[in-house]
This record gives sequence, C-alpha cells and structure tokens, in this order.
Amino acid sequence: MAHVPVIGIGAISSLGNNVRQGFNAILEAQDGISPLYLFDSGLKTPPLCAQVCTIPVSDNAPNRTASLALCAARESLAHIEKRQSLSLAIVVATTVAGMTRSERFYKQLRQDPGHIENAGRELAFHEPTALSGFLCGALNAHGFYTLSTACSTGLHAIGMAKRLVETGAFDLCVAIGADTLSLLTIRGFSSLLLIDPSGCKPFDAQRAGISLGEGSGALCLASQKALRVTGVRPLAFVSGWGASADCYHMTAPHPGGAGAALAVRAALKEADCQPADIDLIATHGTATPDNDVAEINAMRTVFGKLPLFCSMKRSIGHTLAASGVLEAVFSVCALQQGIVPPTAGFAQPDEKINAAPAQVQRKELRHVLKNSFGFGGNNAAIILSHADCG
Amino acid sequence: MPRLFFHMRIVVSSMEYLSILSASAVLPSQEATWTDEVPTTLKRRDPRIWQMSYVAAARAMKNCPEEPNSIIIATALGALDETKNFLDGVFTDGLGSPRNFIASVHNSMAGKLAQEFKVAGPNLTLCDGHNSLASAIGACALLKNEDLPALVVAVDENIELLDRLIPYLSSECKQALENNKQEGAVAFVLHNKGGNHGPLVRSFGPLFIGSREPDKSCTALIQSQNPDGQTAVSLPSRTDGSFLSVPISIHELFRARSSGSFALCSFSPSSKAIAVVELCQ
Repeated sequence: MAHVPVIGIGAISSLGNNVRQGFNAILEAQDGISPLYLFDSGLKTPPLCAQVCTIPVSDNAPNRTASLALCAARESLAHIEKRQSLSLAIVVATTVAGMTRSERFYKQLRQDPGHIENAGRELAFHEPTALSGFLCGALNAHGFYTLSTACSTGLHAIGMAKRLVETGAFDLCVAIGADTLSLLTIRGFSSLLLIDPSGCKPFDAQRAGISLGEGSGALCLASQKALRVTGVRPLAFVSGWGASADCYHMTAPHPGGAGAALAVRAALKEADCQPADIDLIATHGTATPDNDVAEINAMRTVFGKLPLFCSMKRSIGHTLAASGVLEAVFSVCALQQGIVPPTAGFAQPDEKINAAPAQVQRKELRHVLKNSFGFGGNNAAIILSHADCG
Repeated sequence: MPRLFFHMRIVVSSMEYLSILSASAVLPSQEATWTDEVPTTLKRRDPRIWQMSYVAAARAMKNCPEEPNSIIIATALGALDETKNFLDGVFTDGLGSPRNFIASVHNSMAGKLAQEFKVAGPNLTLCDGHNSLASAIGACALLKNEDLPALVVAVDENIELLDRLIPYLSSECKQALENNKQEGAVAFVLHNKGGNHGPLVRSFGPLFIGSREPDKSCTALIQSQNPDGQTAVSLPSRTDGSFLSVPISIHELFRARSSGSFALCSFSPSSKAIAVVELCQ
C-alpha cells in the first residue's frame, strides 16, 4: 500500500467558511457552540450546537448538507489547475444527507394530508446517493461512492479514496464528509441522554455528553500522474487506513476498546509505522463518559505510553459523518505548521482516564493518528504523515 | 487492471474480478416462511430489515467454505421504517424511541450482522440507490487481502408510507420507487481468489452521466470493455426498476449456473448515475 499525497483541503464549520479560519479558531481554543437557532428542536431548552452562520451561496444546492459539502469540496480543488485530462472521483460520507427536508415534509404531511402533493419536490434528494450525484455534477467528477457508517464514515471515505488512487482507478479522488444539524439527530441523541446541556467537555472529569455540530470537510488525494500534470506539491500524505467492528453493542463502545485498537493497529501496519512513530492522536473525543474512557483504554492497549492527544469536538461540535474528514483536514494543518492543537472544553482531569489532552504547543509532527468511532460498533483510523515523509 | 474509455475522454478503470463463494436471498414476497429462520431474540425485538439481512447472511455463510472477515451492506434507503417510527414518536408525544433512533442509522444492519456473526474486520455501508450493489462490490475490491472474504448484503424494505407517496413523486423519483415492492435481502460471500474459485463478479461505477440517456451510456460502457460483444446485457430500462433488481438477477444467474458473461446495468434517477455488475461463470 502506498502513501497517497493530499494536494487540497477544504473545510466549513461553525468556526468559519474555510480551512484557515477554522484552524486559527481551533488554535485559539474557540468555543464553537451556541444555543440552537436554526430550527425549533421541540426540546424545553435549545441544545448547544455548533452551527454554521452563513454558507456561501452555492449554485442550486438542493439542501443544507449539499451546500456545506460543495463549499468544502470547491475549496479543496480551488488551486488545482490543469485537471481536465484527469479522472476525478468523489467519496461522499454522510448520515443526514437530505433528511432535514424529508423530516420537515413528513411533519407537514402528518398535519395536512394535502401536503402530499409536494412529495416530489421535497423528497427528491432524500436518498444519500442524490448528494453524490449533485456534487459530481457541480464538480465535474466522473465516479463516486456514497458511504454511511454513522460517526466513523468520514475516515472510511478517506480510506476508500486512498485505495481508489493507489489502485489506479482514478487520478484524483476527493473524500467529502458532510452533515447538517437535523431534528432526527438532535432528538435521537437527546433520547439517548447523550447531549451535554452545558456543552461538551472532552476527557474532562465533568463531561456529560456530546455537542452536535454541522459542517463539511474535503481532502483531495492525488496519483503520481496527477502530481505531474497539475504541478501541485503534496500538503501531507494519507499513509494508512484501518477499519474494524466491535461485535459488542449497537451503541456502547467495548469498554476495553478492543475493536478500536484493531482499527488503529491496521492503520499503523498499512502506514508502515510503529506506535512510537505517532506524534499526536487527533482523537474521536466525543466527551461521552463511556466513549472517552474506551478510546483512551484502546490507545493504551496499542501505545502503552500515550502520545500527545487532542479533541476538536468543543470547537466544531460532533459533526457526525463530517467529523472524520473535517478533523483530518485540521490535522493536516497541524502537520504543516508543526502545532499541537488545544482541546477546548477540557479543564479538570478525570481519574478514570488518568491522562490529560495536550496543551497547545509547537512541535515537529511527522505522523498523526486520527480516530473515529460510530454506532454499530464501527471503528475507523487513518494515519496522516508530513509532506516530507512521502 | 483493465482500463476503458468512457464519456468525455476520461479513462475510468474497472475493479478486479472477485470470486463468488456463495450466495443466497430472502424475498418475502416469494417465501412466507423465511421468518422461521430468525432467532427468537431477534424476532421479538429487532426491525424487519435486520431480520431479512440476518437470514440472507446466515444462509450464505452456511453454504460457504470460508468465514468472512468483513461486512459490506448495500442499501438505498436503509431502515426506513425505523426512521418513520422515530419521527412519529417525536411528532406524536414528543418522545422518539431510542431503539428506533439506533436502528434508523444506515449502517445498523452492518453493525448487527457483525455482532451476531462476530465479524471483526471492516464494516462498511454503501448507499447508492439502484447502484448500491455495484458500489459494494467496488468497495470489496478495495479491501486488503487479509480482510477477505467479505460478506456483501444488498437489502431494502418497502413500507406503507412509500406506497402512499409514490403517486405524488416527481417522475424520476416515481420511476425509482414505484416498482420497489420487491423488498428483501440478497447476500454474497466474495473473495479475491480468481481462477477455479467459482463464478467471478466485478463492477463499474457508479459513474455520473447527468442528462445522458442511461441505456445508451450503459451500452457504451459495456462495449468499450467487451468489444467482442459476447456479453449478455440487461439495461436499466429492461429491469423491474426496484432497488434490488441487480442483486436478485445476479443471484438467480448464480443459482441457475448459467454459463457465459452477463452485464447487469442499473441507473439511479436520484444521482443520475449508472453502474454495471458483470458476472462471468
């Protein structure tokens, strides 16, 4: 397996509409969450969420998820010229897709059966694959895959994009993760009592759950041919992808993190890295009491002594399928600039975890591990390597 | 790896051939007794779409000489009934059921099968509408050797709400859903051992065609890959239009041991994309 160059990145989140704004805000440990104002969740108190204030106008995007995805994808391709002769694929990661319009339509339909006449317009983009089709058209892409594996989807999309490039199937492949806030996810996580009313606090002793968010991230991966044709230099490399299943429970992580450790080991093996080579773990770090303990247990199983680690969830919220790609984009920034990002929301160490996330600091980073875990016991890990490590 | 020229002078590659080690199907409209094979624990609590997935997977694995190391689900709409039930709860009394929410995620079938059959490797769910099986086979071809064989299950369900909506949908959505009475699950165990290890399958796409005509695009794609014209072709307009058309056809050809090369084409009106699954046996 090859180390595949990353030649473009894009991001839109509650912290800003491009990579630079987003990463600068993460370095300042900005709090990206605020009371939900996008729609009425029906909960007594609006939950704290990471919301995108304004999305740049995107041509005829059928829904908010598509607008976010197009914004990030275009940023990742903006500087890549002479790509007309290259084959381009996209791998799209989403859980919500067109659900925001579907749930609004269904609510109205329940109130007024006559509303059924609007079904054609409102449900045209319900299927997740419709998002990929729209993005293909807007980006002049030729092929695509649409993945949905809950909160781990984004990293699987990067892993599949890596494979599509290294097998020669496509010259360029953009992994795009996109999700928007929806009634389904807010009420769903609320029904599981997994939303922290005071905002998420990753790895903190007082943590009590997640803060949902919305956004999109995009990573453009390139073949050697694409590097020659475009003349673009790698920003970093995707060097390993690991995937596994817990086989334990549909929502709770394996307490010892056995499945997560399996995915991380597979990613390390593919990257030809030893555990000691990892300089930073960009954790999944959702801030639920169980998840953070299980993730650290898994990392101890693999690494023994923990490398530096961070979580970006308080800054950009838990953006579900987008989270893996968005946080991978910011991990590429960390590699490029040699900076370990801080963990907003963390204040007090937890005895059960017995480890604290890193303070913001300058450090030469060569390899970063990015983790994502999801419902269904789904685990994903990728290794991102410095541009000098190709 | 063979390469082919497609529209816009862009070179698109096919995936490698995979061996079909075993295959099975659960089509409730054709066999009323399939639920007899659902374990009591699943029958009591679990969604119908999980149960169909379970029985199809169990049948495929029972006839398979090797155990799978990964699971790939192909689904257009996922656990639609659970999504509807959760929203009904929210809109009726303000309380959605956590159980419905958990099951509503598109990858819930994949997670459940991993848990039931203890398959700890990669666990992916591809949601490309009518092209989902092609996507799943493509994803399978991208897995590492140690992650194979893979259990690939194409599954979708029909619910009463869809029947009510269909007359009001746009022509494209209508075309996508009106024949989708064929709910069920079709399972394959796939390996990358070529040669003597059973019938072979590979996929092309999904490939975006925009406003181009699906049948013509599929024909051009297949002709560029099989210039000798020896492949029997089933175009999108000749299928019943359901999400499961291609998986069911592949399963029937596999069971009948029909010899030759077959190209089963699909078109997703939602994404305006075509895909081809090619079976050689």
